[in-house]
Amino acid sequence: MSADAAWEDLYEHEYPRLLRALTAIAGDEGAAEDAVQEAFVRAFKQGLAALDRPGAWLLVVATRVLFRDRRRWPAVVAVETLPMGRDEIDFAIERADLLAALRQLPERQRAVVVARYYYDLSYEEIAKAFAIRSGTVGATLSQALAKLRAAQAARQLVRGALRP
Amino acid sequence: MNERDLDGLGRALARAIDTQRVRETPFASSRLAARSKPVTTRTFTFQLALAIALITLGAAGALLGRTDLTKDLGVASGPRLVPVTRAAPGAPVVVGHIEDAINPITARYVERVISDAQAAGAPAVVFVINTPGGLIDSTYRITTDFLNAPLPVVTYVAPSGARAASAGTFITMAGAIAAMAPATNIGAAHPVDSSGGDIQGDLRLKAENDAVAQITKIAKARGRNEQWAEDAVRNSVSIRDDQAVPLKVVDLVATGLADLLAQIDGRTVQVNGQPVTLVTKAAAIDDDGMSPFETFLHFVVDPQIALLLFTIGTYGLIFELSNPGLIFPGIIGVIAIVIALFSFGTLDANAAGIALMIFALVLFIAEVKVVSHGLLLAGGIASLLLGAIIVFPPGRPTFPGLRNTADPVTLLLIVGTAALFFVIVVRLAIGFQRLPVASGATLLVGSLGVARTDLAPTGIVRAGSDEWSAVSEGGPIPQGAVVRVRRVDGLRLIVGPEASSSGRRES
Repeated sequence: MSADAAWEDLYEHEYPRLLRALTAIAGDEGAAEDAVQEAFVRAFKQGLAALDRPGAWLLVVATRVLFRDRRRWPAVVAVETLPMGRDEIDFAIERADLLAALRQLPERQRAVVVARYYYDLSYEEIAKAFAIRSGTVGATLSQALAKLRAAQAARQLVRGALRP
Repeated sequence: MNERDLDGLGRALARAIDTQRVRETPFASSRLAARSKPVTTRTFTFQLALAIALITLGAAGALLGRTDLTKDLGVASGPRLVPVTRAAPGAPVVVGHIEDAINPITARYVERVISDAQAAGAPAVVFVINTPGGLIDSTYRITTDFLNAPLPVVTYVAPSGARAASAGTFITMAGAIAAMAPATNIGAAHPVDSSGGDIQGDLRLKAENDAVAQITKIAKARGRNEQWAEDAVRNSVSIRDDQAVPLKVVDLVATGLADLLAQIDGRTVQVNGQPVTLVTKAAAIDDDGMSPFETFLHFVVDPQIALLLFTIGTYGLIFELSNPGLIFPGIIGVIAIVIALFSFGTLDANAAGIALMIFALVLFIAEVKVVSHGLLLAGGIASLLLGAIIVFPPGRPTFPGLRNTADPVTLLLIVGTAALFFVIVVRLAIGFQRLPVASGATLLVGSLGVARTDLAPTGIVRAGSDEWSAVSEGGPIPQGAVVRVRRVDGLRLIVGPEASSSGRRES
């Protein structure tokens, strides 16, 4: 396989998941796309051989790029268009609730949550990536999830009240 | 229990993230596919590297311009190898021209002509002189070449009306035979400082004595009037051709080249201490003027031209770097800077001055790229001004006729245009970059259109090159009337009647 094909393969393989992760963290598809593209370019400069776990590496780099650029451009929260299929509606509401709740968290907490639950990074990897102590990762996660659960519960309560 | 609950939430979260609807960019249009870097950054880096490389090359060229390659490489230094060259029978007389200000390029040209004449076995080489003066060093180089030439050098102040002023006096008197055309003059050889003013203090005496020593040495070697030569330097004496012959400043007056060659035929002159009899009657003439390349170099080796070229080059580079991809300004800029550096080198420019000017260039480029609220710009202009002043430091002795220092007008021009350039061009360019994106209908606001249907109040208006649905403001508008676009509401144009033009249409 030529070098070009290897890169294309990596891109096809990692890009969809990475873009979704970053969109969840950024809450803004434009900023996410930018960070993801930049991460791939940086990976290219590193060389494929230098990347141990390309997926995790890309996530960490893209997140850092996002945070760096955040200082320059404030976040714009995108309005999500819901899918309209009747079967999907319950799940969509659930999903939208979760994503909306996620956006209530500080961006760094979002990044930790995404790294842990969407990318399955270990506490140690997360600690290293975001320069925090391993113990703090656990604390951050339970804090974030508690907030998510509370937000979810509140929303369900509201929706329950609104239901005929 | 709690942990499992959290993990369940985590899984739901992962699923939610995974099912987000996002617009995916295919690999082909990804930045990765476009090879490693965003294009603009890459072009910028590339161009910067190119510019630096070429400027370094130019600086090297400038250093070379300072030294005489022929001397260093041991080639073509023919004139000094053979004391006397025997003339080839029937070879034409070579004629060179010393015109305008005398600078290192003139000196090199003179050496080339003597070499050519020697190679061709010319019976003599004639230099037609018409100069207002020039640089002292270049003048002495030419007189030395004349005194040591391996073949007879004839100097001829021509045509009528020409002058051999200051530096020209030295050069004319250095010929084995010196001639003047009618109504020409020679003299006024007092050194001045490089900005054209009088030299002050001890330096004046030093420069004057040095010049006197040189010119009396020349006069003595050629058997001419030493006293007058000294007067020409100390008192700036200037005389006409009809006075110069009796005073033994020059040998003869000739009405033209043919007359000159006829008159000098049969004369015996000393060439490197050996007598050579001239055979020039009816000899063919080989006119060996400056080549286009030499003419160009002679033109650019001038302090004012060099400074202006450097300034133009600076703007070219800035323009290129602030709008990567225009190419043309960048190329012009680098060429201009390299030529300017060559010129600086040839003119013995002050290295600190060049450094300051290059520093100014760096600051200007930084000004385009970094927001500094004009601090970099102010620093750049100050640096450019100082550099331009000291690159050709005033006060160096020279002969009148060539201003070997930055003219105040040139300085004003350089700094003024720098300020103007930034205030207007760059600010404008940056302003455009910061404008909100205008496209489609937005661009049409304020322009005129024609109603394709009656607007009562909605209808179709042709504006720009498209047809738009439009709403009339201020009453219905008949079909065919001219309207002005007032606002844009989504994809609809809000238009009003254009009273004046419809009135004109009716008249």
